[in-house]
Amino acid sequence: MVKSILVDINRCTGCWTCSMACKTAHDLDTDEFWQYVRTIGGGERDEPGGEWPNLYMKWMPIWKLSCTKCGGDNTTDNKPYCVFNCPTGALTYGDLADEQSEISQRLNELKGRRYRVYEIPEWEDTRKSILYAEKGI
Amino acid sequence: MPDTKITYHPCQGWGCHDHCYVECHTKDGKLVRTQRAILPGESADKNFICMKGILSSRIPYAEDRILYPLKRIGERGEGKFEQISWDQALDEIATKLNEITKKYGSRSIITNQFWCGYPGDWGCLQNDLIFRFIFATDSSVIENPAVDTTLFGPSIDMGDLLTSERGPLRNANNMVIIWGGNPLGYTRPSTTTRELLDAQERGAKLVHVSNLFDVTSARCDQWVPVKSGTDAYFALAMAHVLIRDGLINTKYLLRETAAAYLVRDDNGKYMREADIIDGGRENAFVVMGESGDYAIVEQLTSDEASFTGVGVSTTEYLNDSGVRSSKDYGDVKPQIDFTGEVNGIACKTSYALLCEHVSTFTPEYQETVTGIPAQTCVDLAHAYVNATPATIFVYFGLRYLNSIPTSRSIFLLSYLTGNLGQANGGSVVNQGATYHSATIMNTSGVVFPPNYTPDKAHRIETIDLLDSFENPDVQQYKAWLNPMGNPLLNWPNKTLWRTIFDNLELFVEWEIRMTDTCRWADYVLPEVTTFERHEVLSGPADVIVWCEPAIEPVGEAKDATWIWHELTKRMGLPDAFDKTNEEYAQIKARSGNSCMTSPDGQPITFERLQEEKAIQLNLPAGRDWDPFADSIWPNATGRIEFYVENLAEMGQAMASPYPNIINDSPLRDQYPLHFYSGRHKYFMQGQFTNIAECRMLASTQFGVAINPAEAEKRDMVDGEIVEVFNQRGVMRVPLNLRNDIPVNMVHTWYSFDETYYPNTACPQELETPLNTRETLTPFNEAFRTKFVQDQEAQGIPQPMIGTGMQCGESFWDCLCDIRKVR
Ligand code: SF4
Ligand code: SF4
Ligand code: SF4
Repeated sequence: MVKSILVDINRCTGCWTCSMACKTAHDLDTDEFWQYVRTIGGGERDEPGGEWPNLYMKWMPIWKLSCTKCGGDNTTDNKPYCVFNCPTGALTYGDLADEQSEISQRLNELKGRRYRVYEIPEWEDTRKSILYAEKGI
Repeated sequence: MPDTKITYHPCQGWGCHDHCYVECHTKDGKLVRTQRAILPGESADKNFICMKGILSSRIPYAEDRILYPLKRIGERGEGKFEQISWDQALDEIATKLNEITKKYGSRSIITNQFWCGYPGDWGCLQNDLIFRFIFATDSSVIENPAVDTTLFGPSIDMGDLLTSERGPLRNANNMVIIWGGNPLGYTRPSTTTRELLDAQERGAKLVHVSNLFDVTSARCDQWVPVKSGTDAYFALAMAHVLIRDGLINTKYLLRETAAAYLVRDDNGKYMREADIIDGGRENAFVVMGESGDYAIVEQLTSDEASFTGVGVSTTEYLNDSGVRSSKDYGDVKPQIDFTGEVNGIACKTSYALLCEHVSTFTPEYQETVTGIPAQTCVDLAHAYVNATPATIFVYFGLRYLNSIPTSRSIFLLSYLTGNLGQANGGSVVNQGATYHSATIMNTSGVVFPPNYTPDKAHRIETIDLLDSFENPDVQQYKAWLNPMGNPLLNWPNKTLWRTIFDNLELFVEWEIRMTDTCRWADYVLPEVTTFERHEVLSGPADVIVWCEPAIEPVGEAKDATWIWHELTKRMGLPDAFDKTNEEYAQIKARSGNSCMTSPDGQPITFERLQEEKAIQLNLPAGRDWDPFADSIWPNATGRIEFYVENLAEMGQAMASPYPNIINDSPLRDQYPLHFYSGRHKYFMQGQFTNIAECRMLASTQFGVAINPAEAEKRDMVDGEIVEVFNQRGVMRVPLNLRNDIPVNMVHTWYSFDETYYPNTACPQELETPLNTRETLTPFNEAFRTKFVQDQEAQGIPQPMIGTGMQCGESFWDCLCDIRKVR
């Protein structure tokens, strides 16, 4: 049973902690990423879109197909390293089939607050079981 | 079975002031991973880490790690060194120090003690050891650089440098105005960010007032773009609206501030009892009652209330008429807005003076200065009141010469609305990374050597240092020891540093890696990282933490205690440092702090700490502590004085706009653009600039960014190499054209070290030097004098008074122009 990750885009600050936690836990080379962070804005990393002063920017962490869907270890509460270390609480992990799981509860809470929930297409070289939720940004 | 170990350490990037702990995983003697440390009890949700915390694990093994002692063989600044033995290094350094002492006196040796960016900051053992050294040798310590001065508003209005941690954010449900800086995701990227986002999710509206659209602006519900350095105009116009539209909280103003106190027209001083009654007191003040009779109010003092931050609910001090019951206004109901005479002396209340003062700061007028629409100003003032209890998060990020008056202008809004110190989510968070005073460790067993006497050692000002180079008749300064900090990267400007180095006979640096500062040193000594030494820390996340080495020192690196000991031994002081690093850490841990129990009431012994590693402290004021919930303020009246009589002569009795360089310098005609050098999110000051992942992420933002309109005027295109210049230097870097940068601004990140700028100036070369006459304004000078007097009155030894920061801060207060390469 592959567990899922729910990303609350409204809480993501594009800090790359998730990505670096994965890299150090799995000892990846400098230029190897199983997970990275995309800026939605002006094109470059951390560049806002729009024209001053009407600007916008948000971030989207992306899990690639190379992500092994790890479950961390007992020091991370058996959460993936990316999820465990995210400082903002943007990531929730667990079994969507279990209604009592943290992820199911969070998903329901966000849906109840009218967050838009979506997945991104697989042709983007992304792994399955990642849900994105966002509202008003 | 691999040999695995888990230890706790401060992150290498404490300069961000989020002050996180990392959990370090070691396998077969090698550090393999750092991750978020799960702290015990309620502290668990007060410790999150950012990507730098994760990448801390790479720090000990970085390519530029200093592995053995180095001696300069090229010119200073060239970075050419030869490897030497520890014995040679220590012998030569000590011999030189002894020579210098003989010739110029022991005070000619300066140590830099500015902790910022060193793991553990002012709470670390290295900081204590530096004091031990200067006291043992009767030498000098240089003042701090003028940084983070946005903190200092309360020092003026309240008579003490009160700074709050995150406490009020945890209860903020309505509104948080983040004023200046970029805390969310950038400069306070972990727990502070999380708590701000938690507040937002609970329904608090986040508003960001700033000069640049960044992570914080992107995540906030409203961004209020303000022209750089003009924030005080916006705040005062908000105050204007609050008063004009009858939105002030009279009850709070009477209770907590000196709003009703009368100020004499003739001399601008608060009216004393002695002014109107023969034999009257100097520390009793005059208010006018509604009945038309005056009343005398004594200076408020309280034995119970602590000025260092034990929270006392203000309501305890209220009587039925809504004023303080202890030493209150007696039977008199004071008039807050009185103008008239008392015993023939013309006077008015400080509130009446404030009304006059802000009357000219109309929303329309501020628009002409700040660029913020008048309606936005009116709307935000109303929204702030309607959201009561609401919080203002005034971050360090107003790095201009006028930051202290600006800080006062912002605090004023919290007095007028009574939002300051509300227990339920209203306050001002001026996050100084200061923790509850009860968590401060007793360091006397480490700081004071056996030969300590109060006349030992001296803190010197940069201005005196520079003057000494011109005047052989005063104390000369010939040696600089730099056990922490990377001033050449982190403090502007290189010309200042060249002047200093040219006059030194010895410059010794101890460091973990080759930095810009190391390249100027005569000797570079390899120091251990936070992962290779013992440490004990208390405060952040309400815990006390015992840190044991995760790994053996890499190369020939040594801990600071060993270095100080070997040095002082050779200087003829064999007993100055007679313990090991671990022993000093133990002494400190055993001395503890004044809240050494855990929430279950159990005492925290050293043995327990050694066993458990991290223990939650039982804070006397609770975990959401807010120093502004205090109700007695340590100044002349005992109330908040938004009118400060001693500053009347220089026109700064009340928060007022004060000149800065970018808006008021005559050099604007020559250099019309604001040179705005921010710190990079993927680095932490000078830290992590050697970590490959950080360099990779940061690299796309190297160079300078301007608005396309500025480029068009100068016929420039995206990507071309351009020259950014001012009277101090020329920096040749790639140009990024960005629509998010306001006109009149050149934006650059300055954390990149000097290897990024071959054959051209670094950003800090163009920056306005700190702590020099160029930035010491009359206001700052007056403030510094008062600050020192206040600290001395508290019995703090002169070398330990944190002077220097009170000079005008000027990191962002800098002009330039940009041109095509010549
Ligand atoms: S789930 Fe595991 S492997 Fe996948 S990105 Fe997260 S840490 Fe890396
Ligand atoms: S998901 Fe979390 S860790 Fe990853 S970039 Fe967003 S905020 Fe940072
Ligand atoms: S750099 Fe990041 S992990 Fe380190 S102290 Fe600052 S916020 Fe915490």
